[in-house]
Amino acid sequence: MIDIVLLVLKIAILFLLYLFIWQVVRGAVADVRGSAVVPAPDVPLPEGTRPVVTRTPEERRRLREERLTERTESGQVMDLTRHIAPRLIVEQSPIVPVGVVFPLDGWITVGRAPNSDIVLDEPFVSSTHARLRPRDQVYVVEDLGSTNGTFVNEKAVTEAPLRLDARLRIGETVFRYEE
Amino acid sequence: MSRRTTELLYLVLAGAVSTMAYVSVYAGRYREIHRATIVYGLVFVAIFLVLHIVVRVFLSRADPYLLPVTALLAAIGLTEIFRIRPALALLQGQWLLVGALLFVLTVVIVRDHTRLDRYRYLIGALGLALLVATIVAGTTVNGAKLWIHAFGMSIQPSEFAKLAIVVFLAGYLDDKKVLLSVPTRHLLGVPVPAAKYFGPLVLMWGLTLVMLVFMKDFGMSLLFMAVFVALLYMATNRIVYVVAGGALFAAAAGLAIWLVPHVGDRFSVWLDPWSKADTTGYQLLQSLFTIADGGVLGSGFGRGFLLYTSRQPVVPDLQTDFIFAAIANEMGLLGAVAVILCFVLFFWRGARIATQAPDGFSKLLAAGLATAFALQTFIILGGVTRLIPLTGLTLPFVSYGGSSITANLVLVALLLMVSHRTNVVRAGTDVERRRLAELG
Repeated sequence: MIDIVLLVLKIAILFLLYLFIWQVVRGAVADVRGSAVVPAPDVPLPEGTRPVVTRTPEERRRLREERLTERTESGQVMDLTRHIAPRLIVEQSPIVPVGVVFPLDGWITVGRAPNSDIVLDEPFVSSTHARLRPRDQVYVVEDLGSTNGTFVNEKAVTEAPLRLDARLRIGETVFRYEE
Repeated sequence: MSRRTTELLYLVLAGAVSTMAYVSVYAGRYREIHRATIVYGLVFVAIFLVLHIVVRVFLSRADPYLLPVTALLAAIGLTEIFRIRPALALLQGQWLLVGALLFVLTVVIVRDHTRLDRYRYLIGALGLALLVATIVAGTTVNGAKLWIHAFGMSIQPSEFAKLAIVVFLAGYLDDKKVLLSVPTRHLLGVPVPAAKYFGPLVLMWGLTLVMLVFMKDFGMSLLFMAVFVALLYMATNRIVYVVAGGALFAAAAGLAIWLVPHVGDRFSVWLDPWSKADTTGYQLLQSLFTIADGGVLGSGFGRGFLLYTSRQPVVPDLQTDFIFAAIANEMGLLGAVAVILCFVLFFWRGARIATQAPDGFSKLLAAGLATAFALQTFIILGGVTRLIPLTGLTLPFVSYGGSSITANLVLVALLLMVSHRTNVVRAGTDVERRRLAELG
C-alpha cells in the first residue's frame, strides 16, 4: 500500500516540478512579449541637466527681439534674425540621453561643475570646460583651458565658429549644432 | 493577474511540491504517513508566505518568479537534508528562518539598492574585513580555511563577502567605466588604465590570490575572480580584460596545483579518480555511482541507497557539497534536470532584471549577483559530476549550510529591489516614483 503511495507521490512530484518550470517559462515569455509593445521608458534626465525647453513660436519671436538688443562682448548689438533657434542636439553620450536638445540662448557654459549651463558629469570633462557665445552672426565655441580639449568636427579647437550641422565633442558627448 | 498574485500562485505550487516531498521522505523511511510531516511542509510554506507579504508591501513591482524558484530549490534541499540527516534538517530550518529574517530586514531597511551605492567603499571594506577575519581566525575543515567558529556556530563569511564585493564592484565600476575602457598605456598589449583607477581592481585580484594561498580554497577564489572579470567586462565592454584575467587566474591555478598539495590532489583526482579509488578519489567516485544509481526516474524520496547501516552517508559531505548526488539519486535524471532548470530560471530572471535596469549601478549589481549565483552553481555541479575539478562550494539554497542560505536569501532581496526599481521607473505611477525618489 505505502509503496503505491510512494510511487504516486514520486510521479506527482516530478509532474508538478515540470509543470512549475513550464508555467514560469510561459509566464516569463509572455512578459517579454508583452513588454515589447510598451512604449520606450521615459528615462529621467541626469541630475543637473537643464530640461529640454520647448517654446511656442510666440515666445521665440519675443526672445529673438530681446536678443537683438542683447549686449555682446564688444558691446555691439547682435542680429540673430537669421537664426531661428540655435541649439545643440545630443548625438551620443554616456550620460545624456541621445536626442536631448539644448537651446542656445546667450552665453552658455559647458562643464562638470554643477553651476554650468550644460552639466556633463563625465570623467573627461573639466569643471569649466567650454563656453558657447554669440559673436557677430554666429555662435562660437571657446575652450576654457580644458584638460582633454574641445573638438569641432573632431579637430581640437581653442575657438571656432559653429556652422550648421557641426559636430561638437566635449568629453564623450557629441552634439550636433542646428539653427 | 498582478505580479504578486502570480508570485503567490507559484509559491503555492512550490509549497505543494515541498509538502509532498517531505511526506514521501518520511513515508519512505518509516513506512507511514505522519501528520507532523504535513505540518512541517506547511511551516515551510508559511515562511515563504511571510516573505511574499513583505515583497507585496515594499517591492510590489518586483519580478514574480524569483521567490517561487527560490522556495522550490530550498524545499528540495531541505527535504534531501532531512532524508540524509534529520537532525540537520531542523538546524537548516532554523537557518532558513534566520535567512528569511535577514531578507525582511534587508528589504525594510535598505528599501532601495541605490542607497547602498553611497556606502560602496564601506561595504567593500566590510567584504574585505570578512575575508581577512577568515584568514586570521578561521578554522580549517577538509583542507580549506573557510569557517569562523563563534557563538557556538560556524559561519562561512566568504558567502557574505561575495555579496559585499559585488555591491562594491558594481558601484565602483559604474563610476569608473569610461576611464577603464579608454586606457592610456599598454603593457604587453593589454591596455592598462591609470593606476589610480585600476588600483582597487588590482587589490581585488590580489585578494583572490591571497584567498587561494591562505584559505586554500580554490572554489571561492575562482568564484570571486570570475565574478570580478565578468563585471569588469560588462562595465567596459573590453574582451581583453577577460583574456588577461583568465590568463592570470590560469597561471595562479597552475601554481596552486603545483605548490598546494590539497589543490593538486583535487586536480589529479579529476583527471583520474579510478587509480585513487580508496583514498582521495573515493568521494568523487561515490558521487558518480550515487548519481548513476538513480536512473531516469530516481529511486524515490527516502528510498535511495544514500546511507550505510551505520547511518554514515555513502558520499562524504553528501548534505553539503554533494547534495546534488543525493537529488540525482532519489529524483532521477528527470528530477536532477528539473533542479538544474530551476537554477537556469533563476539566472534567466537575474539576467533579465539586469538588462532592463534603468541605470548603470543597478545593471551591474543585478548582473554581478546573477553571475555569482550562476557561477557558484556551475562550479559545484561541474565538480560533483566531474566536468571540472572539484572545488568545495555550496549549491545555493539546496546545500546544508546556514551562511549559504542566509546570504543567498539576501541576494534574492537585492535582485528583487533592482527589479522593483526598474518597473517603477518604467511603468510606475507618480506616487510610486515619488516614494522611490524620497528614499534616495
